[in-house]
Parts: sequence; structure tokens; C-alpha cells
Amino acid sequence: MRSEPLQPLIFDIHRYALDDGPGIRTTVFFKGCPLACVWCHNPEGVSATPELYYHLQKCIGCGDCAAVCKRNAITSEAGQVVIDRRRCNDCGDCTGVCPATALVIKGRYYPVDELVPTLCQDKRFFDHSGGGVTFSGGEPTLHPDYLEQVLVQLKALGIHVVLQTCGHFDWPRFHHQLLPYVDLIYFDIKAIDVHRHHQWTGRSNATILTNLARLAASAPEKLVCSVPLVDWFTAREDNVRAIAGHIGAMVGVPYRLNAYHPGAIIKNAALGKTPPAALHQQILSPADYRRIVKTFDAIVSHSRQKRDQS
Amino acid sequence: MGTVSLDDIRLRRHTLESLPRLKTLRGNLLATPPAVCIERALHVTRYLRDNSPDTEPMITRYASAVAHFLRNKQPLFFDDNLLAGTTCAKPFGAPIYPEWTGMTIWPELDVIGSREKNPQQLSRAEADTLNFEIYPYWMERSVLEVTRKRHGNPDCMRLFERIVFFIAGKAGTISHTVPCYTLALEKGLDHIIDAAAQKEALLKQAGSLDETQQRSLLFYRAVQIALDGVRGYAHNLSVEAARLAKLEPDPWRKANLEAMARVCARVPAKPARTFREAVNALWIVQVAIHAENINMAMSPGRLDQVLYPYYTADRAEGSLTEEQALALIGCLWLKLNDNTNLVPETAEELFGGAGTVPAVTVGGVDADGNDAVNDLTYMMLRVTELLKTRDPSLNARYHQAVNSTAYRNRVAEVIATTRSVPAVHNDKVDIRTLVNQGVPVADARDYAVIGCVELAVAGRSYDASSAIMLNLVSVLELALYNGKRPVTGDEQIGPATGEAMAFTDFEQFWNAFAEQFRWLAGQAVTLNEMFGRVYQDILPSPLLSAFFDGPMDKGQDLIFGGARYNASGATHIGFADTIDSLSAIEKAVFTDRRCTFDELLAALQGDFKGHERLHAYLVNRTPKYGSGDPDAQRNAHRLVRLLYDFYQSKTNYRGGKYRPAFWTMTNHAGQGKLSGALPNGRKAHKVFASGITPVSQAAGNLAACLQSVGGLDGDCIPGGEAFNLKYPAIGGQEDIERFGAGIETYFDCGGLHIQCNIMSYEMLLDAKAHPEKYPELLVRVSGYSAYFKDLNDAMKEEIIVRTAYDLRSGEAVPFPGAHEDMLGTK
Repeated sequence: MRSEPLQPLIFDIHRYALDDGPGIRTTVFFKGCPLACVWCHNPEGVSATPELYYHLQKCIGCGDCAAVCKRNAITSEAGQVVIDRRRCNDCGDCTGVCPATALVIKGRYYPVDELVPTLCQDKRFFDHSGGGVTFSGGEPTLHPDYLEQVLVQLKALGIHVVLQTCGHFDWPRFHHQLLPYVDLIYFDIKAIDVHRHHQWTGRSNATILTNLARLAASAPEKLVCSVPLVDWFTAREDNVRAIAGHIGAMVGVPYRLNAYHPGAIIKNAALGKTPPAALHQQILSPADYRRIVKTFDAIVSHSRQKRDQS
Repeated sequence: MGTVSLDDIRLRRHTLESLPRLKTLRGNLLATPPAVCIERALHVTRYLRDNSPDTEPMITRYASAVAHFLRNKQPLFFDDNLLAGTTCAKPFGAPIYPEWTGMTIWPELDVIGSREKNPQQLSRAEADTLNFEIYPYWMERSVLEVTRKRHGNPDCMRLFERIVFFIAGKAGTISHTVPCYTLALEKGLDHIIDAAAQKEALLKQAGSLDETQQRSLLFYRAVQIALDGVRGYAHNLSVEAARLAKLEPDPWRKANLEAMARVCARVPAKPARTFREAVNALWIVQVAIHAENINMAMSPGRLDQVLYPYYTADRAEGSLTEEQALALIGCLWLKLNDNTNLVPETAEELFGGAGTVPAVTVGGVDADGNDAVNDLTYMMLRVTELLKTRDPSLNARYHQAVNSTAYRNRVAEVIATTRSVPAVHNDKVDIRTLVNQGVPVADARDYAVIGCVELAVAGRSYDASSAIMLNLVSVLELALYNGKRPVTGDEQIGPATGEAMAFTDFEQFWNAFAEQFRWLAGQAVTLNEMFGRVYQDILPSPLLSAFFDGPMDKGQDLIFGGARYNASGATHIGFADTIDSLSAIEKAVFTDRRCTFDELLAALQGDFKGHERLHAYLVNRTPKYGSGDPDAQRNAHRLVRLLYDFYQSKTNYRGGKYRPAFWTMTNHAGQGKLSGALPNGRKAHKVFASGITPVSQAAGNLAACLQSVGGLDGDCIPGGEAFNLKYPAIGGQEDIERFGAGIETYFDCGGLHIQCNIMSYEMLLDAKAHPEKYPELLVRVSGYSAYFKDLNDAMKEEIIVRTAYDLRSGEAVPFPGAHEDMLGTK
């Protein structure tokens, strides 16, 4: 396990989110992730350090950014801005002068006593809708000390908390510092086959599946399995079947299937990254999505029935 | 008092298929082109010209003219509606009121039937009658001309006629009010006439009368004259229905005509005994009110309360089924659609596509603070959901502590299915706002919506809520240009408050702005007072006064302050654009020192050409109202407070206070088209934001937007506000509940009103390009509904560019790149 960075960075705080748990929620996105999924739709969450993000559509091509860059990483010609990412050290000087806010730094440290009030400003939305706060990323469990302080305060305020995780975390710390304060855990399962998991995410799933089993044993009421359906990757028939079988083996654990959306392409470009060629641009068709959900449901209920009978 | 006995509050088993009468009537309505109706103008004009001497007091003279018209009005039965009575002599009519706006189409008589936008049919013979008989009589007698002559074409009137500073509502209407029909239904017109006769007799016995008593005497006389005309019309309807029934071979039609003959033989003269009698009596009185008053926002009020006793009695007796109740409500809804405004081409820009906006209000609490939601509330929601017609403008009151979540979610669901109605009003804050205006709490709880969003104590307050519509952007420009405006050239309009370059801090600029505002609003108030006194002399409304609480006790017509409450409304155009421009000036010129005032003005005058950097900075880096930015919010509060303090210090000719408001109909689109570039980065000739809504794309997050708008002090907005929200889609039940929760939170923050359009940019762009594909698309404009196809291009654009929020993410949906030039900031 990597050690916790001194200052966990947050790249976005998304208010009025409806897809990240029950009710109306505020979602906090941390930077830094132990995995590097090829399809990652939040590529700004992978690196734990600040990154310069360039909105091409907002740029008016004035060149003010190039003029202030001390490392000569930006060139501006004929209304086009080109960033040399090898030179750029993400210092953010250019973001201060950009009139169009086309250049911004992703990743900012929020002291706990700033983050909690920021989240509480929408408490009325939470209360009326049965919503709350969701921690996502990146990987929020990379920052257990920081997150614990936040969670303790949210708990005291009676705010419902969802934690989204890739599952690759240090169990004892997770178990002691985070689990007691969290209401729901959306636990990602991307593949059961260890080689495939390694190939897609850069890591083995051994820790992940172990953590899943521990969680199913110690706090099944908080566990929701979350399966991203990415065309050409996780949505492959054999992969879906394997995950469904695995979930089916866990008694009463709910799950949700999420159709992947291809926001990653623009975001990768804005970060100066090239998305993997293998990443298919198409989202799953609604028909395919429905078919997969049907198969998945059938397998889970079949294996649960079998288990009940035996 | 409200109880719900329905097994399904959504009334899903009732559809247009199961209510075929409504289906047919609705089809007829949507297929009928509007026609100008001269019937009233002709009768009233002839009577005043030929039958009544100029020496007779105006109040009885006018009452006699109205009664004469009502007795001679053709009793017409155009279709199979269950209710007798028509506003016009045309199935879908635009009545001419020469006292008010009727004269404005004089130059257009030859083209009104053939113009491209919203033509209104007019035959050659009718045009000749207007040309040679009606208009010549009124040339010097309309409200506008009488006022002009009396005051020698005053400065304030000339300012009004520039159009780009303020609009004086009284030149075209005073209507905008909520009568209460309870007494008319419960006791009948006979009772009111008797009461007036007794009051008159008492005064006569008193012997020598002072001037006020003389006026009271005439008022009581006029009430009797006018209401007798209403009885005459109902009698004629009854006789004609009986005659037609005899001729009718179809037994289904025959039965309906016979029923109407019976109903009109009794009501509205006698008390209504059944739900059907009550609904028809109410409709006949509504028609009669339009014999006297122009058809603008004459709002029937809380119909789920007014009609409830008749509904429960019939249901208890077993004489009324759910189907029959729905059919009668549906018939009333369609009747309320039987007339439209007469709109000259020049006014299309400012008011195009508006209906007559008779607002119906449902739900909320009763006078004791108890839940008032009842079966009729849900039936009116269901009928609105099925018919999807422009009028009546349906308003749902929601009291968080008292009304149920089931009701809230049902309202949210109807908004999702109709894509636009009802508008939702926050009971807690609305009631508090009225109490703050000095209204006792029991009366405040019985508020109903006038026209767009204005609040009135039903049948007790005469609010003339559209007295003034003031353009705040013109105030901003007067402050920027030392009392001049680019659009009116070099002429000194307002006071000289200093050249912009000379201001050394934002406070100085703010003070100049405030001075220009007080000057301009003062002009508007002066003109409104002049109009008010002219109304007292030439256009009393004894018929309308009979349906209010107050005039009969005080012996005073509404126009003399007869009602219990007597406010005047002043609404404002360009609220969000003005706040953002003030904040932009504060930040760019004074805090950041990014530019000087001279540089800023140069950029504005060149519409930002050659100033792209400054433009990008103004759009992206200055505080925006609706984003949660504290500086923007402070300036918003400050502006709201400036207006409130000014208007509340003014007392009108009826003894009430002026109330500031923020609703704009379509004026924000029209005024935007007439305005140059603004410091917030809005380019020249682009639309302004509507009502109290943030500038398009300036408030990127829904939570922040709802809290910013809701966070404005409702007490300081007693005239009402229109907040428009747009969502591309609302999905299933879960979305509806969360949509409802969003409204609830906005109300928690203190918002007065919210209305939604559930449609995407793409759908609206398609509807603009291919109107034939969307013949019935209904949209919320700024306080009322309109068919999208009827709107002028500027207003279509404004609806299109309104920020759409993705309900799933709470974020503003990016505007389609190919159409970015529609946005004021690109």
C-alpha cells in the first residue's frame, strides 16, 4: 500500500448529483488512484498531484498564458495554444491570467474545516430528498486520516455518506477509520479473472476480491456492488457472467450496473494525455445494456436460488 | 377543511378517450384561428354616443352601457360545451376595447388578418364599422388621450412612449385582479342587487349628502344597473338554449341544451344548488366582467375552494360522478380559452403569444392554516394535464408544513407530463410576504395568483399589479452615460449624475445608479397616478366591484379604493443582467483594475469588437448572480432593497402602496433586442434573462442557483417574482420525487415561485426550425404559458437559450456549439 500523501487533493465538488447514490447529493472527487483503468472516465483523478487542464472550447487564443509561463511550456500561434507537457510543471501561473478561464488547475487542498461547511451548504437538499454526500475519485480510501476527520463531522451532523471505491485499500485502516462512519459503499468490480484485471487496470484484483469478501462478511448491509459496463471491456459476455456469478455467491448483497459514458475522451485531451487506442468510443447501446442487465439478473438470482436450496 | 376521497389522486383511469366531449372541444379550439370581435365595442359605443347624455354621471352611464351590451349580446352556442355563455361573438375571439388598447390596431385593419405572426381575422364590413363608427367616437376618449390632454402631454408620458424606459400598464389595462365568486354563487346576483338597492335607499333617506355620499349613492345605483344586465344575458342564454333544444334532432345534444336552459334560468341570479349550476354561474359572471373590463389577467382565483361546497354536496347526494365533475372542469378550462388579446403588430415584440392569462390557483392552506388540498385540486391538475391548453394559467400553492408530499409529487408529475404547468408557489413565504404588507394572516392565507405571479387576497385586494414595467438596464445605462442612453442618442434623459470616468469607487457609481433609478421610477409613478385619476373619472368598474369584498360596505367603486387592500404593482425587466453588470463594473474597474471606465465604455460601444480579452474576462471572471458568488448576491440584495424602499414609500391614488416585482412576460426579449452591449459581457441586441432568473449559462450549478434565487428576501418582493427553470428531461418516478425535493429546498431557502420548462435545447431549436412539427408545444414564458409557435423570434430565442439543468448531474447542460451566437456572451 502506498502511504497517504500529506495533502489529499480534490479535483471537483459536484453539487446536486443524482447518480452517485440516493436522493440529491454532493460528490467529492479525490485525486490519486491505485488503479489506472484504460477506460477511466475521470482521468484527472488518476494522478495524486495537481494538473493543468485546458478547455479548448473556452480558449480565445489571446496568448496571455504563453507570456507568463516561466518554463516556456506554452506557445500560442494564430489563436492556438499548445502546451508542452514535458516542460509544464503544473504551477498554474497561466491560470491566473487566462481571461476565459480556459486554463485551470485540477486538484486543490481543502482543509477539513473548509470542506465540511462546503458540503453542509446543501444539507437542505439532502434532508428533503434523502440524499447526502458521496466520496469518489480517484480513490477516496487513499486518504484515511483526512477522510476520517471529515466523516466524523458529517456523521455528527446526521449526513448520509456514500463511499465509492475501487476496492484496492488497506483493510485494517479502512475497517477502523472509515467503515464505522459510512452508510453505503459502492464497491467496484471490473473483472474476476486476475490476468484480465491486471491488463485493464494495471493491478491484480487479489486485494480487491479479498476486501470484498471481508466487507461482505463484516458489513453486508452497507455493501453495494457496482459494475461499470464498458463496451469491449467489462461488458464482454464472459466477463459479465463471471462477475454475476461472483456476486450471486454473496447472500443478499445488492448491486448496480452502470452504463459507461465516454466523457474520458475530451478530459484526456484537456490533460494532454492520449487515451488508449483500445478504448472504444461508443457507449453501450440501450438494447445491449438491457440485454446485459437481463443476463446478469438471471445469473445472480439463479445462483442465489441454488444456494438457498442447498 | 380539505379532504381527499379519491382512490387515485392521479385519476389515471380518466383520459381524453374516456372524456370524448373534452377531446372534441379541445381539437376544435386548437384548430380555430382567432378572429377580432367588435360586438362589445359596437354596442357600448352606440349606447354612449346615442342613448346617454354627456351630462349623466359617468359611473351610471358606463354601467348602463355595459348592461345594454349584455342584454343585447348574442346568446351563442358554438359547440357541445356543457357551459352556456361566450366571451365573444366568435368561437375564438379577440374582443376590441376601444377605451384601452382597441385603438392601437387602427393603422393595421387591412393587414391584421393576413400578417405573418398571429393573424387575427377581421372582415371588410367589421373593419369599416371600426373605421367609420367606433374609432371616430373614441379618438379623443381613450385613457391615453384623455390623460395626455388633461396634463398637456407631460414629460413622463413622452418618456413612456419611448418604450425603452418603462411601460405604463394602465394605458392598456387595469384588470389584473382576482374577484371572488363565492358570494355570487352562494347568494346569487338578486341578493347583491337587493343589498345595493337597500344601501341606496338608506342613503336617500339620509337627506342631504356630501360629495362622497353622492358618489356612494351613484355607485350603488350603478351596481344594480350593471348586474341587471348580467341577469338579462343569462335569461337570453336560457331562452336561446330552450329554442335550440326544440330544434335539435340529436338526443345527446338536445339533453345538453335543455340542461343549459334550466341552469341559466336560475343562475347566476339565484343561488347555485349543484356543481353544474355553480360552474356555469361562475362562467357567466366571468363573461360579464369582460363586458366591462379588458380581458387581461382577470383571474378566477382559488377554484378548488370556491367550487368545493357544490362538489361535496353533489357527491354526497350521489348526483355527480368523477367523470361528470372532470367534464365540467374541462369545459370551464376550454371556455376560459375562448378569447385572446387583441395584439397590434408593434406589441408583438413585447407581448407576443400571451393568452389572456386568467390564473387559477389550487392547493395550499385555508384561512385557518389547514390543508386545503381536496378532490377538486387533483381534478383540476388532471384536467390541466389532459388538455394542455394555454389558459387557464394554473398555479399550485404548496405549503411545506401542511400539504402532503404526495400532493407535492403529483404537482411535480404534472409539470413533467405537460412539460410546463403548473407554476408552483411557496405558501409559507407568500403568506409571510403579504402579512408584511399589512394583510391579516387569515386573509393572507387566502391568496390567489393574479395573471403571471402576483399575489392577491382573492376578492379583497385590488392590486393593479401591472401598473409599471420598468427596464432596469435603462437605469444602468443612464448611470453609465450621465443621464443619456445610446439608444436615444445625445438627448439628456435623466439627471446628470456624473461622467463614468469621474467615479473613483464603486459606491459613487452605485449612488448614481440609485439616483437614476429613483428619478425614472418617480416618472413612472407620476404617470400611473395621472392615469389612475383619469380612470376614476371616465372608467369606473361597478360590475367588477360587486364581486369584491369592500366596495359594497364602503360604497366605493374599486377605482376609488373600495377594496380592502389597494396596492399597485411595479415590475422590472433586466434584473439579472443589471446585477451582473453592476458586479462586473465593481470587479473590473475598481477591485481588479482590469480596465478603466473609459475602456469599458469603448468596448461596450463597439460591441466588444477588438476587446475580446476584456470580453472573455467580463464573461468568465466577474461575479454572476445565481452562482452563489457572495459579491453578486450582495449586489442582488442591494438592488432588491433599493426598489423595495422606493416603492413602499409611495402611496397610490387608492390609498395603497406600490409593490416591486420581478416578472417580465416577453418584455425581456423585446427590450434586450433594443439594448446595446452590457458590462456583464452580454452583446448588443441579445435577449435579457427573464423575471428573476439568472442570466443564461451564468449559473452553472442547480444547487447554487436555487439557493441564490431563493436566498433573496421575499418580504422585499411583495409584487411577486417569476423564476424560470429548464430541464431537458424528467425521467421516472424517482426523478419526479427528486425534482419535487429540489423545489422543496428552493422553497426552504425562501423562493416565492418557480416554473419549469421540461425541454432540451435541441428540441426547442427543432421547434423553431420546424414549427409544423410542434403545433401544440406549450412553454412557460415568464409567468404565463404560450404556444411556442406563436412567440416572436426574440422570445423563441430567449426560451431556447435559458440554461437547461441536467437533473441527473445538477450541472448546466452545455449550449449546442452550432448555435452559440444565440447566447448573449459568445
